[in-house]
Amino acid sequence: MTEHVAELELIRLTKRFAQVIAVDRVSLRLGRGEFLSLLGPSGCGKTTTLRMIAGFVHPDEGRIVYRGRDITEDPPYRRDAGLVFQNYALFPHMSVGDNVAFGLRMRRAAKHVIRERAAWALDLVRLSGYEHRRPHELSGGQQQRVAVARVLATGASLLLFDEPFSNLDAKLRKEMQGELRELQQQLGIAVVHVTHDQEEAMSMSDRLIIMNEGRVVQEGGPGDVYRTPGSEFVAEFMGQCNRLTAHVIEPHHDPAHARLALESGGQLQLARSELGHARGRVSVLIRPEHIEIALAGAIRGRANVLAGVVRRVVYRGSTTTLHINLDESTEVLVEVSNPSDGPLAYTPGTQVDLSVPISAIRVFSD
Amino acid sequence: MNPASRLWGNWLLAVYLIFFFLFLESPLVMILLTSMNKGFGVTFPPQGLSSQWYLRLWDEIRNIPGVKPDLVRATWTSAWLGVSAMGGSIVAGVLVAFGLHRYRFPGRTVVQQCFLLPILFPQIVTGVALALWFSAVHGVPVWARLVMAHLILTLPYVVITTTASLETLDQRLEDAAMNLGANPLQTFWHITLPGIRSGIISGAVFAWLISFANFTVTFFIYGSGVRPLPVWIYEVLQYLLDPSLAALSTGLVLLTLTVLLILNRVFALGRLMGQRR
Repeated sequence: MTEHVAELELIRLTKRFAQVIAVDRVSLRLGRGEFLSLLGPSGCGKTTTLRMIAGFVHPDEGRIVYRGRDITEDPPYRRDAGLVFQNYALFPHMSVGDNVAFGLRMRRAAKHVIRERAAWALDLVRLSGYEHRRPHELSGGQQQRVAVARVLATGASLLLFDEPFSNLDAKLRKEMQGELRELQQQLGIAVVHVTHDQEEAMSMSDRLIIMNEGRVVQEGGPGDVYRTPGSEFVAEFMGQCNRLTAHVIEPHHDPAHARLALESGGQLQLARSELGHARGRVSVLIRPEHIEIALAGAIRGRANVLAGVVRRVVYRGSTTTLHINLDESTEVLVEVSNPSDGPLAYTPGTQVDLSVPISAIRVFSD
Repeated sequence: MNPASRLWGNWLLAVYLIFFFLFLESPLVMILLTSMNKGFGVTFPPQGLSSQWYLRLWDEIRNIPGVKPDLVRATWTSAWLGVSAMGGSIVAGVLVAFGLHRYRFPGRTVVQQCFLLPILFPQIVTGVALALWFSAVHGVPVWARLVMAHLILTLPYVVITTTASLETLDQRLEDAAMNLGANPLQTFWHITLPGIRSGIISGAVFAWLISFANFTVTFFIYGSGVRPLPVWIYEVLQYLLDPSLAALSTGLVLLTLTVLLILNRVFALGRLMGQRR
């Protein structure tokens, strides 16, 4: 059996700034060629963790191990992790070619090696021929590609991305995300990617690490974290979420199912395994796209049907978000894909039935 | 305020400013007029235009015997003194600016103010203080005294312009350089220095100009062996009121003005000295 040495390992990394614990005993393992995203709200410690991996911040406690070697005390210029900055940080007084060649030049590589690798890197990001341009002559997307080429040219086997797409417009962002992911897979380079955009993280990553207030709160593949969040925080961070308050009805006869009484009226049936040990007052989280909607009375033979009134219809092109009132104070969002043949039949005031599949219900103790 | 009174206000302000600047620059205006005067000496109103003093100045430069000696030598002395002060200021000034900008240490603000003191002190005070000090410390050769004094005078300017440049420099560029494999020395040489080049050059040119033109402090500490141009002019004026000196002064003023204008064009001097836009 072969020993699988992790590409990067963080062991109980901790960093304090004055009285605030910015990073609190964060541990993680990154496999070879794996794309890992650190995801969380502003101030959760993800950027500080990244800067510790790069060597710009020295941890107060914990160790950083790269390919089996402890690099915690190594200065940034002796680490093998290429960092792509949010604002690209291209050297303005150098040409694109000189920017890309900079790393190898500083490491005193042979001239022909520098030339070859720089050309190779620029070709990878489809900017061959741009060697003589200056950074300020390039568009945002082009500058980002130069920044990527610049770290690739040094032969780094670990890439660090610090919210690299936040300065691009929506369409360009999606393009670059796809390109970068393809490039990463093609080269087999491990990546640690920091972002606060859950969609971006889910679309690019092999694995996600959700952080909040300096701590790791959940780890897993994008699908797992989205469908089975470990806490309300994670559920609401990963995407739109309906939150209803309910009380557990003590289960008697059915070993596989349990029932909840919603405070807004009506009952929901769910899997006993999902309920777990929760009792009494609980929060029920349901994703808008999992709820089925039909005109009042049109849904027959389903377990969880709730009655409501349409309050607002928000058209978003590919989908429509319906704001439904279950009672005066409880609003539920339902997301529906728009059909090709015309607008949906719902207008404010329409009476509707909502059907919630058992598998869509997540319960968290209050 | 209605448009009419605003117009009046603008006109009054313009007139006031014109007279204010004329008053401020009246010595220079007098010198200019004297250099072009037909007659001899400082008269007002001038007696007619002539370029004779400029021609005489040209004779003096070519060191025709019988005419005032040592003009060229004094000019070279000032020029080299300026270069020495400039060189020392650059080396010391960049280091000082770097240290003050990048590091927080107790007493930092005090140290920062100390380096700016020579600008604030009246030059007579500085001159007398230096004279007293040099007489207490025996055996400092004249040229060394002058270089030291001029270094003190010019260092603050290099510190100011270099600090201004440092503040506009994006520190993430240095992070990026180190991340790519450049050690701190390489980072400083390849990334930081080119980034603050405009501040260093502006400060250097300033340093040279200030040293070249300095009279007050130089007057208190110079000796017969080393005679910079400003004190040479002063000495000549003791026994001879020669309008060709006015021609010389006018020429120097024009030179300084030209250099400053070029500098402003290239390096946007205003922003380096703290202007907002």
